[in-house]
Amino acid sequence: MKKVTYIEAITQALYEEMERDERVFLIGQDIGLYGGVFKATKGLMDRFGAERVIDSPISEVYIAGGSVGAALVGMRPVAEIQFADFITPSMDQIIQQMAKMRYRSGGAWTCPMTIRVCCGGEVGGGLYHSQINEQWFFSQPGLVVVMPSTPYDAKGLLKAAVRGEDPVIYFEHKRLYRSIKEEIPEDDFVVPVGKAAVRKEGKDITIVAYGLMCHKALEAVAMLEKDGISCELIDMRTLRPWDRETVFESVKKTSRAVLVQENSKTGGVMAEVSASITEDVFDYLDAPVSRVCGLDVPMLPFAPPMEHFFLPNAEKIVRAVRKVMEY
Amino acid sequence: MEYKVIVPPLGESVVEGTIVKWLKQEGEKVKVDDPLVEIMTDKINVEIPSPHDGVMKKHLVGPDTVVEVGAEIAVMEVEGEVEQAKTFQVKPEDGRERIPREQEVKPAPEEFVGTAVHHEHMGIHADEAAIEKGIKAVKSSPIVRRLAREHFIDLRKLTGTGKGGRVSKNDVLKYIEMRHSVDIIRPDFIFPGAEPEEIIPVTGVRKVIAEHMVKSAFTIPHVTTFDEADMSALVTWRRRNVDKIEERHGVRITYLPFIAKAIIFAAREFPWINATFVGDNLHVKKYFNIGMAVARENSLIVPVIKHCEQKSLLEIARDMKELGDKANTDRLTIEEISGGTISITNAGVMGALGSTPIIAAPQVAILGVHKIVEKPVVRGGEIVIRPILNFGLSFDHRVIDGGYAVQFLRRLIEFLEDPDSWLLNVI
Repeated sequence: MKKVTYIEAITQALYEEMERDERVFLIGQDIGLYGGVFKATKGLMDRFGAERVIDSPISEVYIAGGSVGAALVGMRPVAEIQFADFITPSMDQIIQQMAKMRYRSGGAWTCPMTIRVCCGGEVGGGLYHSQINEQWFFSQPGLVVVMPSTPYDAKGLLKAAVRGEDPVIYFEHKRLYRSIKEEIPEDDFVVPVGKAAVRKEGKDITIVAYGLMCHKALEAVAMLEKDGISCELIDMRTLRPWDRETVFESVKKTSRAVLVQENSKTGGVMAEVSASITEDVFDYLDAPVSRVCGLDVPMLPFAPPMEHFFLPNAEKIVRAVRKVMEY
Repeated sequence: MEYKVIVPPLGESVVEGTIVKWLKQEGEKVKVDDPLVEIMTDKINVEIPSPHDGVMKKHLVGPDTVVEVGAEIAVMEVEGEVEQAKTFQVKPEDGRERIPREQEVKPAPEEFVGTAVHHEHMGIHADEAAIEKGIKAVKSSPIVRRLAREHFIDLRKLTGTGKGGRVSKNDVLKYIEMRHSVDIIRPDFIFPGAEPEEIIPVTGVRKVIAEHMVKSAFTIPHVTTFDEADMSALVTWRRRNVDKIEERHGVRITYLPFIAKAIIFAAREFPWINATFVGDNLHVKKYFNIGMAVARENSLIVPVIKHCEQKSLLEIARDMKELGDKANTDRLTIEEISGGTISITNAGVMGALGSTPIIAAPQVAILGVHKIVEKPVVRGGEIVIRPILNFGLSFDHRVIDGGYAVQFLRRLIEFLEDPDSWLLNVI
C-alpha cells in the first residue's frame, strides 16, 4: 500500500474511473491544460485527451447544465466547481434539473453525474474562497451529498459517486488536500454511500463531525481522553442520506452528544442531526444535545485571528464536551 | 448499656403495626433472637426478635398501641457496648407516605441486616407507584427516567452528582451496580467474610480421580439395579456378638465383611460379575480382590483387599481397618490399591439411602452399600418393621446383561438374609 494525500486520492479515483468506463468525462475551469487550480486533475488531459477532460468557460451554470444534459444521454460526467463559493450560478441547474430529473420523469430518466466542489476554510481564503455550502444541498431531496475526511474515503466515495445512478455533490475540503496522508489499497474499492465511520470508539459521549471537523474532533478526543472522558467519534462521510442508525446506536450507548460542523450554526446539517436524535432516541439522552459550529455571520473572515475565532477547533469542542459531561 | 428497641421494617409497604402482646416482661432475661413482642400488621403477625442478650428493662408502649416502623418501643439493658439501632420515620411531617428502604435499614444493628436485605429483595422490584413518584420528584433526564423504570429504581433514593444535584445516568448505573453488589454480598450471612467465589485448582490426586471418573463414566455404559435386603438376622447376630468379637479379637466388625463374603458366594453362581474387561476379552477371575472405597479429606481412594475368598470375616475386617488407617495417613502402596476384581462403596456410612456408583474400570461391577434403616415391610400380609439395606449394583452393560446382574444381586441378598447357612464356615 502506498501513502497518498487526499488530493492524490481524488486524482487516482478520477483516473481509475476514466480507465474503467469511457462514458466518464471531466469538465471544469482550468482542469485540463492547467491540471486544475489545486492540481486535482493533473496529467489527466495528457492521458485521456481534451474531449474527456474539458476546459470549460467561466460559467458554472454551463458546467452544471452541460453535465446534466450529458448525463441524460448516457454519459457519466464529473464536473468540478473550483470554489464552493462560486456554485450559486449553477443552482438552477442543480436544484431544478439535476436533483429532480428522476422524480419528474417518474423514474424513466436518471441523472448519474458528480459535481466535485472544492470547499472549506482555514486556508486564509477570505469571504469568497472559504465557504462550505453543504447545507443548501443537504436539504435538497433528490441529491446525494458526501464529504470525505480521509484519503481512503476521498477515493472510495468519489468512485462510488461516479458509479451511482443518482446525482452526487462531492465536497472536497481544500484544507485537507495536502495536510493528511494515508496508506490506501491499490486495488479497486468503493466506500458505500450512506455509511458513517466510527473513527474512535468511546463510552461517555458521542461526537459527530464530517470533513475537516473530524480532524479537529480527533484532537479534542485525545485531549479529553487525558481527563478520563471517553469519546466516540463518528465521521458522517455521507451527509445525505446520513447514517442515522450509526449515530443513534452511539447515542443510545453514551446518552450524550456533541455535534460539530464548520458551517454557520443556523439551519445546518447538525441542526437536522440534533432534531433527529431528540425525535428518535430521546429517552436515551442524559443531557441536551450540543452543537459546535461556525458563527452565524457570513463565512469566512480573512484575518487569521478572526478566521480562528469563527471556526470550530479542538479547544471549542473540548469546552462543549466538558459542559455536556457536567450536566 | 441501655439499648432502645426499634420496630424494624415489617414488610413491603407496611408502615405501622399494632402491639399484640409483650413476650418478654419487664425485668425478664432475654437471649439474642428471643421473640420480644408480637406485632400485628395488616398482612401478618410478626414476632420481633431480640438483637442482643440482656434484660427487658421497660416497655414504652402497651398492647393495642399502633406503632410506626422505626419507632422506639422498649428499652433493654445489654452487656457491654453494642451499636444502637437508629429510629427512623416512615411518615414525614408532610403526611406523604414513604416506604422504608435500605437507606433507613442500613444503620440497623447487624442482627437486623439479614432480615432487612432479605426484605429488600422481596420487595424492591414491585412498587411501580413509588418509582413513578420518584421520577416526578427528582430532576432527571430521559435516560435516567428510562433506567428507573427498567430497573425499578425509586430515584429519591439516589444522591445526584450532576449539576445542582441532578441525578445523572452514571449515578443510576452506579446505583444499579451497587444494588447488584448487594446481591453478591448476600452469601456473607452464610459464609461470614467470604469472597463470593472461591477457586480451587483441580490438581494432583484430585485430577487423577477426575480423569479416572471421566474414563470410567464415559467409556462404560453403566446400568444400576436396586434391591433391598432384610438385614434382621444379620443385625441381630452382629448385635449379639460384636462386643465379644472385639474383646476377643480386637477388631470391631462391621457389615462390610459379611457383604464381601456374600459377593463371593453369589459370584460362584454368576462368575462374570467378578471380572475385568480388557481389550476384546472379559477376564473372569477365580479369586476375589475386593476394592473398598475409603473417603479421605478432599479425596477418595480404593484400597484392595486381596484374596477375600481365602480370608475369614475377621481377617477381612482386620485388613479393612489396616488399609483404612493407611489410607488416612497416606501410607498405602501402589500394590495395595491395584489388582481389584470388583468393588464396594459404602455411601450408607454417611447416611445415603441410594446411589448409582461409577465402576472402577476395567472392573465390570461395583456394589453400592447404603444405610440400614428400619422400614415398614409386609411379611405374611402384615406390616412389620425391619432393618432394610438398599443395594445399588452398577454393572458394565457391554458384558453383563441386566437379568444376570439382577439375579446376582438377588442371590447376594439371599445370602445376607440367611447368614446361618454359611456364617459359621467363614467366621
